[in-house]
Amino acid sequence: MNIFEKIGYYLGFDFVINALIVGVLISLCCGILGVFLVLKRYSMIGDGLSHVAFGATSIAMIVGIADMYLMLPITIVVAILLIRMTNRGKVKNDSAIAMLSVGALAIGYLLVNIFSSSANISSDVCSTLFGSTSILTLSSLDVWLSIVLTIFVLAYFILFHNKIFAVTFDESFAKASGTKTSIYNNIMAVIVGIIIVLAMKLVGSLLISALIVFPALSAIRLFKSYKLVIIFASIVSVVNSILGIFISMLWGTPVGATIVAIDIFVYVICWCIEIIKQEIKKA
Amino acid sequence: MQYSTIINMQNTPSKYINKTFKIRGRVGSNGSAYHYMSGTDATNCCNWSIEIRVVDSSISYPSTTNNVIALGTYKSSKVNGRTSYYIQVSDFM
Repeated sequence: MNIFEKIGYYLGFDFVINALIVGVLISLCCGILGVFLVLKRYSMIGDGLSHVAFGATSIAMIVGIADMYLMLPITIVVAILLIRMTNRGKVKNDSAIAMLSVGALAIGYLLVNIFSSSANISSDVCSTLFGSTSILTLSSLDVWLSIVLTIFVLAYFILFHNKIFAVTFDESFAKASGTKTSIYNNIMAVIVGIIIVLAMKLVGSLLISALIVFPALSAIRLFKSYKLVIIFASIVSVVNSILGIFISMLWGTPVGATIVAIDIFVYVICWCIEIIKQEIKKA
Repeated sequence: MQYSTIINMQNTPSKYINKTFKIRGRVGSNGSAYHYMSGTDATNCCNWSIEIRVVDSSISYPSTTNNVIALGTYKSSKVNGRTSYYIQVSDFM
């Protein structure tokens, strides 16, 4: 079988179609969200929240319920608390994220080891941390939840893009001109929580930051316009995820790590293009 | 893909019944009637296993230490009210 025949064969499996649908939706949201998080200097928030989500998954594993029912609400609540904590200035951004990140990871892994009913703890943990095959073993609930939540996230970004832009670039001015910035920050926290939980299925807990950060940074290297940065980041994120899923299927590599490797490669290409453009301008 | 496919076969078996599969892995046995194949995923941290049955008397189970490819059909059987799923092997390669 050549590569195209193999791809055609794999596309006959509905779990592959599900993986592609969810992968495209998640990466689209991550591409858009990443721009705002990078500009507001919340790049590592994805890391912190994904570790909190891992802790919640561990509790769900022990209790024996579907992880989404626990991961989503806990991650959203922590996201809101984290953004409030850093906005009030009592704990600095990076310290708050570091505290939550390592604490949740350690407690989660400890609980899984002490209380787990599964004989294969390392596979449960490994799959959640690295997303090695999670995207290819989605349930119908996972797929429908991803679709509904992505529609909600995209609708928010499309309907309120002006306010989001104002709050991102100059929050003080937005507040002074009457915008209720705390509401927009809380909604953004909810959206970050949702996207982190969904993205864990694609790349796992440890690699989520890459999915959020790299497409945005690649776009910022090439474009100065806000609209173009968002469009390019979304396209790059989606294309890289699709490529990563196909490469993983064809050559048996872990999905999450493959997608991140492609993200890094594209970022380096964009960086080189920026350098070349600057040299041409100087000349 | 093999790991994902087997997990999906076990999660939603009705979609895969009577379909033919080629599976690579190690053959194991409980010493008597029960035989299975097992293997790992791409990161070597997650394991899969699936029961295999040979109905054709001319085919024998390979040694349990071998890494083999089994060709067979995904079937189900009901024993004491409980449904189990297995690969009915037609050939080992």
